[in-house]
Amino acid sequence: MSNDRLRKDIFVAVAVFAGLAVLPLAAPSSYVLGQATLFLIWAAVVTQWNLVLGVAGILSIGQMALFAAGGYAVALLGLYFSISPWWSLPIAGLAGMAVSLLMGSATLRLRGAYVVVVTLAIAMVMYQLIVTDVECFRKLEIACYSLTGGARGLARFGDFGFTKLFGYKLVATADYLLALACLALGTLFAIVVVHSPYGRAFQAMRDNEVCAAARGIGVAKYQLIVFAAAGFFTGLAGGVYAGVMKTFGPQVLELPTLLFLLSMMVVGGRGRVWGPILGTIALAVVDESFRDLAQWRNTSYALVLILILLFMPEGLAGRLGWLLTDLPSRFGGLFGTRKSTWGQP
Amino acid sequence: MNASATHGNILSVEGLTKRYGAMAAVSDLTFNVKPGEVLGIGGPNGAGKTTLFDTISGVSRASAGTVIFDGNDISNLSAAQICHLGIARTFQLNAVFDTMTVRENLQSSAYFGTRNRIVPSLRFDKEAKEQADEAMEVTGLQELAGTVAASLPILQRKLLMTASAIASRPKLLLLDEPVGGLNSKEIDHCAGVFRRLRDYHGMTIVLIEHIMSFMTALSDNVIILHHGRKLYEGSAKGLADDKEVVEVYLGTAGASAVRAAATERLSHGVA
Repeated sequence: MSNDRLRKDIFVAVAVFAGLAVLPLAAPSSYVLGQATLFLIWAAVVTQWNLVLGVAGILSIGQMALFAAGGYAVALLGLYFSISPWWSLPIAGLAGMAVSLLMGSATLRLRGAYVVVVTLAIAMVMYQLIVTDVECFRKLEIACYSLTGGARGLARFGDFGFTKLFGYKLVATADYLLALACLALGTLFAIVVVHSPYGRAFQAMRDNEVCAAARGIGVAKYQLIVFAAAGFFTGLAGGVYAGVMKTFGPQVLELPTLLFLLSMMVVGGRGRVWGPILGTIALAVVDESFRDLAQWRNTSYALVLILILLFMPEGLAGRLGWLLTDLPSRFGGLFGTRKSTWGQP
Repeated sequence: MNASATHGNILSVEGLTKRYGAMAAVSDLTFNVKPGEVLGIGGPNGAGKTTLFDTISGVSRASAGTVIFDGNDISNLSAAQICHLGIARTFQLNAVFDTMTVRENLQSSAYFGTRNRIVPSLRFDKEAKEQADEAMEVTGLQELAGTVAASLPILQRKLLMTASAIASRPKLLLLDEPVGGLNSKEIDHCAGVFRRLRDYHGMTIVLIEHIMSFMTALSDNVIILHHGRKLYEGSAKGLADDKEVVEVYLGTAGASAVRAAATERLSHGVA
């Protein structure tokens, strides 16, 4: 039964990612490909965040600190040790995992709003440490640069070398495919996990923590497991971002980024495998529609968020599940349907 | 605690105290449960019944005293460890995993509850699936295997809670108000399930209940708590004749109901 849903979800995932992989053949402009690359990376972040917040029900909102850990790992290793992002990507994952485990252990005994405060605080401390880092670390001619690059961020630390490999014209496509691979890896991992006993343990913690403990689930252990896993893949996404954008700065730790990603999760549907991807598509569409009205951009996210919370509190994935309830060809996997029995055998 | 005191008992509670600040919710409580026994625990609201379950099952830690289960001192173990040793409890509120189906609830409880899974696999094992099926069968929930727990009616939710507790095949079952809020037909149905658990599955049961007719009909022995202390301990039959119990808890009308239930139980030979 659960295996059926696992198979369905993997099937859908393979189809979706194969479809996305051939998209560059439609020869979109490099602007569109660049934006798509960025959104694929955001979707990868939200997918992992959704494991922690949506599936395990831990209100962690410091997720961008893990992303930053991965990004800075790639940037710093490239800058000071000339290590190619290809080699530092696994280290980016481990860096994300380390920060995530720190966050997970700091919040082991906390619940609800207190978790929000502590995780946000960790991200904010990281931000402050970086932007206040102005001490001269290296000198290039007359300019002075700090260790972390401070508020300006880091650049010129190397990239994935796609220009050399495929030529200038295909760089955007290669970046796009790399971001897609990163998202696919994280999503397939998330699908396998939510349909496994690990996923049930996370879900049990979210549904009723005291009851989960009384049924033999060591809650602290599974909290650390979900933080470690999400940390690794979020750090990886941060590393890919750094390598693709060729620059990395503390802006990713600022509140607008956080709210933008949080909107993606809520619009898509918390706790559902396909929520993050649907949410990302929705927000990408909103973002592009309001591109020419710069001052309305943030307002438009807020508006969409409010509308979704009012009319589809379970997000697009939840709504879609509800719409498909009676269709025989349910395309599995919107996971954790609360009221309806949709998605069940 | 000496060996003779634990001898022949599956559960020995000795001098158990749970204080919240200056208030002792459970105060110096001592009692034993023999294998196969059904012990009923009653008492007015705030008597410390649920607190007693919380401390035995590791949900909260006792301030003083020891709990010996099956030869192990479990006083300082976590809820998960106690579950792995073989005590499963239910909760007064309908605590199940709401977003899971009946089957997922039971498979999770069976898989994680039976023993400590140091590195869980990526699938539930055959054993867990069998235990889940068995729990479903005992409680009669097979038809609802694919239904999400949140959408179950109250009786089925209560049964699911019992089923998820027995899915890990515990030796001792702690039931916190298993029939509260049910009508008399539903209560009879539940009583049948619990009797089967005791008679065919050899489970020892400690249950908290306010519905005295249900409790007297099912229990071999009864303890009545009042302000965290033992007010009465003895057979269900003697309950109605105890002056203090009648005064503090049952009232005269309640006493005659208990007497009737106890007589009925004897005449039907359900013991």
